[in-house]
Amino acid sequence: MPIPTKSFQNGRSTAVRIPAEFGIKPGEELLLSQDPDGTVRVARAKPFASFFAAVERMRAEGFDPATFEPLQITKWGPPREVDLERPQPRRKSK
Amino acid sequence: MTYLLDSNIVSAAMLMDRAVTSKLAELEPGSAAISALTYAEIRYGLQRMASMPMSKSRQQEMAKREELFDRLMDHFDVLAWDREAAEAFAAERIACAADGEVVDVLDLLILAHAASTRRVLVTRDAALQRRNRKGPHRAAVISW
Repeated sequence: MPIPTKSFQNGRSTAVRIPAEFGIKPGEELLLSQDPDGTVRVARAKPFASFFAAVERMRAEGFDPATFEPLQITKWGPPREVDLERPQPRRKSK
Repeated sequence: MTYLLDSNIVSAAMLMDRAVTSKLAELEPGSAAISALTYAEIRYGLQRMASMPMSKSRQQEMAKREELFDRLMDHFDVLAWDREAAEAFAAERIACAADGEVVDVLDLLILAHAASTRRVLVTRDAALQRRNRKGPHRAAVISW
């Protein structure tokens, strides 16, 4: 949902406040672009910056994700067959 | 180009697999997504691990692992599995059967999701890789 904000003068530039909930850190590199309809977009210049920053912080705390046990991803098996022409057995209600 | 990342790729990213993280670092913002099915699979895996008895240090590791997944999810759209995906599932399943390929049901649901959203499926699953450009949608399947 768009959040209303106002631009303001900062020296010779026009600036916009970005609420903290967007998680953009001071000094973080951003990319500005403008759509044909005038919509201004702000994107992070470094993809996955918060992910890689979290990894670096964890390593500094003594946790290296590379040494974590891999997640067990279990297979479910082949899709079950459903015969639409035969009535399925009814379950007995308790 | 837009991508749908399979569960094994998300899992590899969380282990800082170099082949995956180097690709992530090059991605255009918003170009990669995961299926809600993948989200469910990873969440289940995390909760199952967390439900097992463990030492305090392992509990801390689990908390870090959860946080890592959340930070990764800051950058991915999670796509709802919808009617178009269901239509693609039926067609892709018929094509698999015709080709004599047995594909795991969850993998087939994710392949259908990639096909219906016209995204390149990124996976390390050999059975899914064999479906590259096969089936009615000619969905691209690659590995990182």
